[in-house]
Amino acid sequence: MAQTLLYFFVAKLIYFSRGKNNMKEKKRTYILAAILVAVACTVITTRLHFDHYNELLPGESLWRLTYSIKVENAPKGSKVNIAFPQSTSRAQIIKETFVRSGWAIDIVSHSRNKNREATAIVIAENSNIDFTAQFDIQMDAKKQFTPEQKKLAVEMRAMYLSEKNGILLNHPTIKILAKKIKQDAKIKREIAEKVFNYCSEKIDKGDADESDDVLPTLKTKKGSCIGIARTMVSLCRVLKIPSRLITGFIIEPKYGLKPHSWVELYIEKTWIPYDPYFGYQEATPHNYLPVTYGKPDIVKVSKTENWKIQFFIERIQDSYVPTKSLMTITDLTRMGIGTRTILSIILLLPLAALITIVFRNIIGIQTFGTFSPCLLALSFVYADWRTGLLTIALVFAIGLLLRTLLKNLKLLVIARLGVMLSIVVLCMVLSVSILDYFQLTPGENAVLLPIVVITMLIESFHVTWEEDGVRYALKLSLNTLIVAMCCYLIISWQYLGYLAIVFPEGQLFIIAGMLLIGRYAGYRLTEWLRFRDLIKE
Amino acid sequence: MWKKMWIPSQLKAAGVLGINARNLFINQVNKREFYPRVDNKVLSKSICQELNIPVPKTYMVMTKLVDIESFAQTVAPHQEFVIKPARGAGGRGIVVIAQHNNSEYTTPGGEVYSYEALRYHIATILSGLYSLGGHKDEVIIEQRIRPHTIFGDLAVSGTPDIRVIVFKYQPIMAMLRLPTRASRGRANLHQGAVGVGVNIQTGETSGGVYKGKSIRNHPDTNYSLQGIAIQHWPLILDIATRLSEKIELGYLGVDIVLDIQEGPLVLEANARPGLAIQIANNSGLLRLLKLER
Repeated sequence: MAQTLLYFFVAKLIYFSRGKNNMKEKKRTYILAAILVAVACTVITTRLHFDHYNELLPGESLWRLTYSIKVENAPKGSKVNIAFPQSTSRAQIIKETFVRSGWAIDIVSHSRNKNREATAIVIAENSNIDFTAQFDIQMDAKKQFTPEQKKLAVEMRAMYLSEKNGILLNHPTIKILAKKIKQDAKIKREIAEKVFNYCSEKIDKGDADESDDVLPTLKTKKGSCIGIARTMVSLCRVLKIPSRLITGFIIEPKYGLKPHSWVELYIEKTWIPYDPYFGYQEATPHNYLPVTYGKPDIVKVSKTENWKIQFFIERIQDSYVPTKSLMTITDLTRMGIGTRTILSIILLLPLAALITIVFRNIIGIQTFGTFSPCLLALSFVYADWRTGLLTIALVFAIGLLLRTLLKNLKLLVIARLGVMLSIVVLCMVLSVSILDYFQLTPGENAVLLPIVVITMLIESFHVTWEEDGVRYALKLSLNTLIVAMCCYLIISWQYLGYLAIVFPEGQLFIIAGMLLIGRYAGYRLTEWLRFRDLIKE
Repeated sequence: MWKKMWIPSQLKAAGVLGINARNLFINQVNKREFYPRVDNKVLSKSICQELNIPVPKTYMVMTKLVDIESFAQTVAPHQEFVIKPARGAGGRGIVVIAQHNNSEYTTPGGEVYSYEALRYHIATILSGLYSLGGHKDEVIIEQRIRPHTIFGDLAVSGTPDIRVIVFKYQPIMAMLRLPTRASRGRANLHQGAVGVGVNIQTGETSGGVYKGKSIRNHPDTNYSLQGIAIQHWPLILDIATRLSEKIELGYLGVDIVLDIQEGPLVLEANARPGLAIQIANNSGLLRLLKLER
């Protein structure tokens, strides 16, 4: 794909190099823009090709897994079943935190057959539940994998050979297939290997939309990870190998984390893991974290369909291991959460600036200050936009009032600006405290950004009011706000923030865009209106 | 057919110069090194004086706060004067005084400034509040121009001026700017003055533009804006041409006032003249610029 883009831009270059001599700057700009786009595409393709962020650095790392469960209008008595992740020899759960808003649920904990679960019962009618569970996981890639050795009690053995929870045993298809796969293998391990080979090679890997059930998977030769895992469990159980379905998470930086399912077989008094989906035989990578055994649901809500669950995973501490390759420098996701937050703020600035430039040069909307709208937008992102807007409006109003009063003191300009800055700081701090009192806490990063911007805005507003009239000053304020909101709507898109960190070379696209706008000689949208009288019929 | 209805093509066909095109084109024809000759009015004035082009008399130039001490003395003998930021743009920061008694200074519009207030305003200008780029500035105290009689009732509380756009040392378009009550006596379109189109050859006026809309009569006095013949027109064109040759900028706006006694005087020159002149003249600049695309 990078190659086709490269050819496209080379073609464009040739077209433009045919221009006249005085198009020198235009040509140069287009060439530079083309180079930036080509470089960005190349880096992105290389990055994706090496699947760099699927490789974990060896050594210890600290992660946070978050469940976010939202239920709307839950009827009284409905049950919310949550399965919690389990520690392994290579991944330890070191901390668990639960945050729930709304006191309408009661948590009843219990654990049975190796699952760690909690059941929450809704006690008030029609409640909206917002439940967040966070698990801090310490992983050590260097630790050896030790499979679980356990004596299997008779009832347990029976359970792991039974037909339940979607495992199919008494169907002719399964029985015939099992016999065919086994052929004349006698040792359990050998049989297991044959089943594994069948499931991992002969069945196509589909995404989560594919079938979770055994028969459709076998029929279409395609299944989801649950479908393929269940197929393997079914085949093993038919062949009298106790086996179980495990559902859990693969711990790696990923947006839109979804659970994954794999299998464990009981052979020679040991539970041995297999993943027919990704092709791991007799051992799974250290970052496989099991959550439930048997049922593939991590969260289940009864009596209602209005519920949503999301999973998030992020690294929360820097790795101690020194970098391996040069490409690691361009992998920003490896850094701790504090650094990443600041970086994602900075990385969104160019996009916000581009939007402001589009508004100015292509649409033709005048604002106070060239880039103050995009700085305002950034502060809305890190506060909730409602509280951010409220704070800024409040501070602006108080600041303007005091500025008007300050006029009477006839201070020197630089001293007046200093006083305004100090007033704005005090107002910001007060607003944050007030909002916190009413439990509307804005994010702490929000407060820092707009202080200087707001001071300059108040000054510009005042001067414009005096020189050009209050109507024009209000018009510019409104324009500034509109552009700020548009910037906000785009940069608050969570997925964009994620992309900015994973693909920092994406900024080159933005720079290329700015270069092109810099040569844009067309009419601004507002000029359509302004010069309409000049158009002759 | 759709192409005909597409407004930008229609604008281009009408020869309208848009602001993006103007900015790109100005980068080509105006060399950055010559900008201070127009951005700093003190420099512009000395260039005019070199060419024997009349300018309003400078009573004083203040460069530092301590100069304010001699302000009262300097203006004492003159009932009328103008306080101007040397690096201001768009008429900002300009205060015109029509009469005073050394402690109270009155503008043509009737606003009264105390001596302290005027000192404070000067200090503000020096700090750079009105200057392009916000840098420290200088203050010019100069002669106030009395408008020529031909403007009579069209000059409402201020002095009209004539802007001539000069391209590659040739005048191509001109506009008469009339102050209004809304503009508080200032001849700046952006602040509410009226822009009247002027025939570049004959110096005769046609319709006008006020707050973005086309008009035929002055908004305050209702006098007709048609058919006024501007006195000394060939001299005005000559002044604009000679000044642009000396300043060496390819695209220039020259602002000239007509004084009752002294005739045409140059107020200032502008490296980025606005585009409303096209609306005032009901004609686009593109064709006149013979731009190479």
